This record gives sequence, C-alpha cells and structure tokens, in this order.
Amino acid sequence: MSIYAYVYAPIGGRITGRVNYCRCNPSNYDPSCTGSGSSHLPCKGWVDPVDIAGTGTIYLVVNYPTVRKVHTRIEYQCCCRNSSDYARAITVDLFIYTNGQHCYVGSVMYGHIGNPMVPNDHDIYLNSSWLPLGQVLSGTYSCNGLMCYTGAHVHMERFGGETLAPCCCASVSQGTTPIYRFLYT
Amino acid sequence: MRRWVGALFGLGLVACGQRVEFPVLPMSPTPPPQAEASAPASPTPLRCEPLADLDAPASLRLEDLQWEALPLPGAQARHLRGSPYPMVPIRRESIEGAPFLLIGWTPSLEPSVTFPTPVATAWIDLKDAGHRWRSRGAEAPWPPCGGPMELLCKPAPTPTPKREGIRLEKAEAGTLWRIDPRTGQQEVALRLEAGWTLGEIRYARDGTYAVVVASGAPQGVETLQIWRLELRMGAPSRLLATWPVPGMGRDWVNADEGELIGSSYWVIAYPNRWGEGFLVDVERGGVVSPAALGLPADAYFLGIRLAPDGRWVAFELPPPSRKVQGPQDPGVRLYVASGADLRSGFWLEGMALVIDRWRMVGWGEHPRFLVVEDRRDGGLRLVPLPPEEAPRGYRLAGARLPLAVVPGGVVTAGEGGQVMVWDTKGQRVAAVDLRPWYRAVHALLPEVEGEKLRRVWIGAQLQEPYAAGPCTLGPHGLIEWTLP
Repeated sequence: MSIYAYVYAPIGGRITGRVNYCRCNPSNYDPSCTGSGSSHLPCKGWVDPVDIAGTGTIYLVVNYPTVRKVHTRIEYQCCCRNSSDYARAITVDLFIYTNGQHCYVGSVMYGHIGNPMVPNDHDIYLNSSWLPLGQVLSGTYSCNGLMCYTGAHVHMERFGGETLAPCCCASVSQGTTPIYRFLYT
Repeated sequence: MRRWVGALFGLGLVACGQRVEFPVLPMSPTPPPQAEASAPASPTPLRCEPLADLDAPASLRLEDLQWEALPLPGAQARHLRGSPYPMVPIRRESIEGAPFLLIGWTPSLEPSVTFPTPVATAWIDLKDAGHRWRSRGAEAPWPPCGGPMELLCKPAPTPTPKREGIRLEKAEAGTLWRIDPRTGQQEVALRLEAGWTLGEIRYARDGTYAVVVASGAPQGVETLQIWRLELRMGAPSRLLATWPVPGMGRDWVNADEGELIGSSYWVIAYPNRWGEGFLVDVERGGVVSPAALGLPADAYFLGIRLAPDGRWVAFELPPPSRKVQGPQDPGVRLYVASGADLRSGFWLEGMALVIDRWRMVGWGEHPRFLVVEDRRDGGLRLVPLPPEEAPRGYRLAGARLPLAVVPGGVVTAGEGGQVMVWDTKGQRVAAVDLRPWYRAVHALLPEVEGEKLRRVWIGAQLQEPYAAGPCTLGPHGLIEWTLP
C-alpha cells in the first residue's frame, strides 16, 4: 500500500514562481503552467522551487497523523546567505509513522522566514496537521547589488517527493492546496 | 584521523503618461547619520561562528595545505590539495609590500539563488614557494585541528571605494539627506510620503546625480517611484516615473540596475509587466517601452544585463510564442545593443545570457565582445560586437563555465579538469589538462601583467579525496597555472 506525506500551502495567496517565474496577466493566467518568466532557481540546490505570494503566518501543514514527526533546521540559505531575515530558511524533514516507527520520506525548505517559531535542529512530534514556522516578510531586499526579494512571499523547494502545486498565477488556500507529496515505500 | 563525510555534495519611448514633479522638500530636525560609507582602515579580524548549512563540518588546518609541483607536460603549475571545501581564488593584493592571494571557501557548488559569498577566507603569501598563511587578524588565528569550527568563519570584508564629494544618505524612514563633507553642509534631499520605502542609492558614473527607487502600495497596488537627485546642494529632486508593479512576491531578479551610457536611460531591476526590469529616461522622465527600442510591443525581458562599462546592454527575450519551455528553452533569444544606438541592435536567436552563479559573465571590452550560451547545444559562443564578421559568433568548442575575461579573449573551464584560453576569434591559444589529478573546475581567477595573461588561479575538485595533514582529508584543491 502506498503511503504519502502531503505538504499543503503554508500561506494563502497566489503562485508567482514555479521552475520559471510566473507572468500573470490581468486574468491571472500564464500560458505556461510552470512559468513563462525567467528561471527560478532554488536556495538550497533542491528541486521544483515554488513561490507563493501572500502574507501572514507561515505554517507547515501536513496530513497528520500519517506524518507525526518532523525535524526542523534553521539555516541561512537564501539571498546572500547572510544573517538577515530574508536569507533565513527553515528546513523540515518529514517522517511518516508506520509499523510503530517514524520513517523519513523527504524534506521541504521554506525560505525568507521572519520570527522563526521552531527550534533549530530539533525533533517535533506533531499533535495536529498545523505547525507554525514563522512570518512572511514584507518589502524588498537586495544584497550584493542584486534584488533577491520583491514583495511578500514564501519560497519552497523539496528534497525527494513530487510536485502537486497548481499552475502559475493560481490561488492557493492555506492548509488545503497540496504543494508537494512524498511516497513512502 | 578525522574522517571527512562527503555529504557536502549530496546534497518606457513611450512616456506612459508619467508626470514629472518637483516636490517641496520639508526640513527635518533629525540629523543625518554621520557614519562614513568607506572601507575599514585596517584588516578586520575573522570572527568564527557556527554555520548551520554545513551538514558535515570538517576540519582544516591551513598549515596542512602546502604547495606541491604539478608535473604537467609543457605546463608550469603547482597546487594546494586536500581542502574539505571548495576553494575559490578571490583576488591578489599587496599586503605590507608582499604579494598575497585571497582564498575563499564555499560550503557548496550547487547552483542556487545563493550568491557565491565565501564562508571563510584567508590570505596566502605568494612571495616565495612557501606556504605562509595569514588569516585576517593574527589575534584570531584559525583554531587547531580537532574541532568543527575551523572553516566556520566570517569572510573578510570586501573594500568599497570611498565616495568623494557630495553624497546621499538615508536617515529615518523615507528620508534622504544630501551631505557635502567639504563644507559640512547638509540638507534633506527627499522625504517620501508615509508608506513608501527607499531602495538603494545608485550614483551616476559622472558623479553628478543619483537614482533612487522607492516602493510602496498606494491604493493597494504595488508601485515604484523612480527619483533623480542631483549631487548639488539646494537642487530639487525629480520624480522621473511612477510605475505599477502588481502581483509581485517572488525572489531573485535577473537584471542589472544602472545607467546605460550613451543614452539617457537607466535600467531598473524589478519584475514588472515588461519582465525582469524596465528602462527609465532620466532626462525627460518616464518609463521606456520595449516598442521604443524597436522591439515588439508585447515584448518582455527574461533578463537585462549591462556591460561593465555600461555602454552595451543585452536583453534576453522569450520565444516569439511567449511560451517558455522550462529554464533551458532553446527558443529564447538575445537583443544586444549599444547604449548610443539602442534601435540598431542585433538579434541572436537561440542564444541566452551566460549567468555564472547569478552574475552575468562574458562581456569583453578590448575588443568588445560578448560570450553567450547557445541553447541548441548548451555550448558557449564568443560574439564580436558588433558582430558583422561572425553573425552568430565563434563556437568555443568544449568550453564550459566558469569563465573569465582576459586581455584579448577569455579563459574557460573545459571537460573534466581542463582549462582553456581563447582569443576573440574563438581560437584556443593555450590549455592545461589537470585531469590526472582533478575532475572538475569550479573557479578561475586570471592574473594579468600589463596586457598579458601571466597566470590563472584555479579552484578544482580532485579525483580522489586527499589527506593533506593530520586533520585534513578533502576533495578540493587550488592550482596556480603559470603561462609561458
């Protein structure tokens, strides 16, 4: 039987970047599902980056109780890898609970995190689907002479798994729109 | 011996109706900041602190890295081998009269939105064949082996040129001060309305004015204001354009920001309806549309990159269908033009900007050329500017990144551990093959004397990890290749 760990949209908002950045026309449509703008590279060197524009608290939302444990790390992986909020990233390792064991299935990285709400290098045993991670940042930020943050959003990328995120410019609902999933075999 | 764990690699000329305004400058009782925006006068000690993204912190004692001759037929080379992390030659500098090379260590070579900021740096004395290391500030030497902190250090600051004459400084939110350090006179040059945030101050090359972009969301729509501020006491500030940039909320922008010499335009790097950036007319005011450059009215830019001297610009555009097929779409094209004659540029179909770790590389000035990526085969091509003699440029067979411009051509990596020097006709004029020892090249720093390429400093990955000392076992090295 296939067991999946699902990761849902951490905030409500709109998809502004897939493997390429999105060019959303007034009807919020991009002719290319994965973006017709410039290339969108990951912070951490993982795959299938997704940008979601929106504000508020960033949550890890998973299919609990299938996913019962996570391991969190606070890193500075984005922008110039300096110690700014804009560079801060939270990596979440996902563990499925099966046959009495917590089994690792993959990881998700969330980028540009203000006020981190989870500890660094820490196991967390979930008691619901929702775990607050931090706050969406506002404004713009450039470093080394280049713009690396243009408006409130969350950056995501994954290690392992597959991408379920909707196409560019689509609206996503916090906690209900699936972004990634990870198969346990 | 500590065992190194290899997890590191698992790892607008349409003015668009913009009105030029001359705001009244309010005076503020708040004095401007007095800090000098200049380089520190003396070396800054390294400060060591944990670096969270190193999954497998490794030990390195600098003394363990020693020069060894590389026996290469027909080439003079030596190397330092055994670093657990990639070594990057950054620059040569004279310190107290002695030649030193600044070397940086990076945690990863993976392509990412992260910029190539080293996590640690140290200087090595080049005066003789020795291996005298000097970390910035002898009071903070690198720790001895055995601990995980050896490479977990702040990088040495990069000196920034001290600005002479009148300058601008940000004070409280939305306020820019103009300061004349020669007279001590200071005044408010710009005060934005509440809700607007000032961006970076960018000075014109002739030092007569600066351009500042402010962002805000009046009526809920993200919008930019582009201001021109004269570097002359008492001069009015000028709003060049107000440009809506709705629907943002993303990260890195593939555009340079700065003036386009020969024209009255500046490139503003910010995602907008015309792609990664847009042009503003700093004399007449207003945003410049692609159509004003002779481009299709519905064109948009996947990238905008300026030549280092600001005299040429390259625009990367999507295929005519506007449907981009992933990051390596072979249908993309370049429009390259001189700032003095933007409408007479030329097209390079199927070619793309060469971005190496988020910096545009490949602009040559004497003679002028541009290195581009041929998206059809992934190779590099050197295109003379203007390209009359070779409309699609010259193929640099087997060349790959990294790439550095040298007098009369470029130096590139090649397959495996090769490094090659090319002239502006695409001819290979020198090469070294490091493959017996090295498998991949990740950094190149050319060293030029007069107009001649004298040596190339090379960061590369060894075929096998090498134990350089009691606490060092690593797969990375640094090579000095001296040309005949």
